[in-house]
Amino acid sequence: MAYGLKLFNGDNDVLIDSDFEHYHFAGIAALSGGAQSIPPYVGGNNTNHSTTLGQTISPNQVVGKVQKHILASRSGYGSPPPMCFLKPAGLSGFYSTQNNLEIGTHTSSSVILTRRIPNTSNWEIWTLTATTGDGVSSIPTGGSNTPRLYCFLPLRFMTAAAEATASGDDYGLATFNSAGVKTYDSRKLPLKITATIPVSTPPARARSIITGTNSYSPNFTPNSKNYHQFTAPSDWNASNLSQNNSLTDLMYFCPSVCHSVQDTKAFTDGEGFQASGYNSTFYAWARSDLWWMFSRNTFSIVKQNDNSYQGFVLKSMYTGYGAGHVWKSEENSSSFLAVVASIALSLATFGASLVTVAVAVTATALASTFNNYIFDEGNYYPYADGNKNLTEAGPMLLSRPSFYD
Amino acid sequence: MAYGFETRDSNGNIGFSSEDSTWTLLNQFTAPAGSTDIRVIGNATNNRDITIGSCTEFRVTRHMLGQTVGDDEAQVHRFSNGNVNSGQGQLLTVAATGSYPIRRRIYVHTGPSAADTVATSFMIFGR
Repeated sequence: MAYGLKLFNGDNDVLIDSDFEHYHFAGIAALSGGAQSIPPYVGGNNTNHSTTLGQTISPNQVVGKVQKHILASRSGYGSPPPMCFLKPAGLSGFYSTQNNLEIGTHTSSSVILTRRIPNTSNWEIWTLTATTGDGVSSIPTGGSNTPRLYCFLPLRFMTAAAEATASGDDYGLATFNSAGVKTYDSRKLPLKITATIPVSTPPARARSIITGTNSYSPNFTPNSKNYHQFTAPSDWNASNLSQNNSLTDLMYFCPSVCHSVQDTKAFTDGEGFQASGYNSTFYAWARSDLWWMFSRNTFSIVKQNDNSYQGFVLKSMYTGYGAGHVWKSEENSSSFLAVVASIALSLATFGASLVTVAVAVTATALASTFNNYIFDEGNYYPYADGNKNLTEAGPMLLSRPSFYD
Repeated sequence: MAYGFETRDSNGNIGFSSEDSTWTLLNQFTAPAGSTDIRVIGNATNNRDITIGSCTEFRVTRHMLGQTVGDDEAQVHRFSNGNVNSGQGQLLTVAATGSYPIRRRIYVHTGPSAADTVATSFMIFGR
């Protein structure tokens, strides 16, 4: 830096550098519609040959709720994606190392989707949230479980209204880079990150599949998780450690990158002879079924207060995003079993084609129950049983919403 | 505070204090979806490097962008902090030595499958 300004704190940490376009508070993203759960995706070409295999997924199988948020940026400037710190709805849970027990409930949330709305300067951000307790997910109960997103952008990418200083707010410090771009303004609530926490993704496998014969209803609701103890920033109120109250002055930036699919399949077939005088025929049938759940990595922060540790714990887990059961049944009175079976099996070989069958059955109903959300049916079942980005964990950045309220 | 720097609003509330243990965003870069090239975070004016100044600690966050429905087969871009075309993680280890300006590169790689790699926003923080 030939000219400019740098400020350091007593630990020699860089606080302000006029070369860097600091992120400032651009506002709380506006909620768009209510929180919704993606409905179970159930469908097939018919209901034949299902006497031994049920046509439902487990009623205990649950997914979280999706909430859409909108943030406007400066028109025509092509803003970078906003940093959206997530303030979770509730943090009243406790964790004890004794039997890995969780006490109480808390919400586990993350940002699962960020995209610019085409032909606009608005950003659309989706959060996925589940209420958890003792490691088992359940469906959030309503609006109080909606997280809030505190969003940050460089000054020149905010809307004019967001960038404007309040009337009479005439004192402060601003810095500019060599191009004359304002990079810092003390009046516009610059981002303050109070701590970072290393995060790892949950173990690859989720819940063990529950199998049955007469009532086949697998439950994939994930229960794998990792815990990370961390030292609370020095400005956190220590009294929160000893009280069963909510820690409300906390928000974090840790977008979800890890996701998981768990599935199970079944195949049944049969053949026989249908006696009907001169019209007697041989017949063959086959049926393929596919059950699945798609989950995303979500996070929560709980308190631990036992003999081994007194402090905060970051829990990294999966929350169900979508689940379904689709099937294909084939019957033919003139073909051999092998031919009929191959038709059904080919659709179970993997998911996309089989789901395409189900889409034709359920798309209309689905559109009516998952309003205001773009839903690309062809991508609903994304890949076979497994995980993506399992080793790609990132750090969690912490801050406090009270800085910006 | 014996020494330091504070900014306050007109009501006397502290807006910023040099006592805060904070992190400074050094650079933001979006790696395009499906790209197969190794890309370097930075820009032309500083030789495609990050100016790291006096920072001695770093964090790298990654943020997938542009997923249409949030459930596609999305691979996040990987990165490394040297010339090695492998690796991932969350820490950028940089020895802050040498004369000013101190610069460093981050190499961005595709995920395991380039075709399924979505756009990824990288943010590098230092302090």
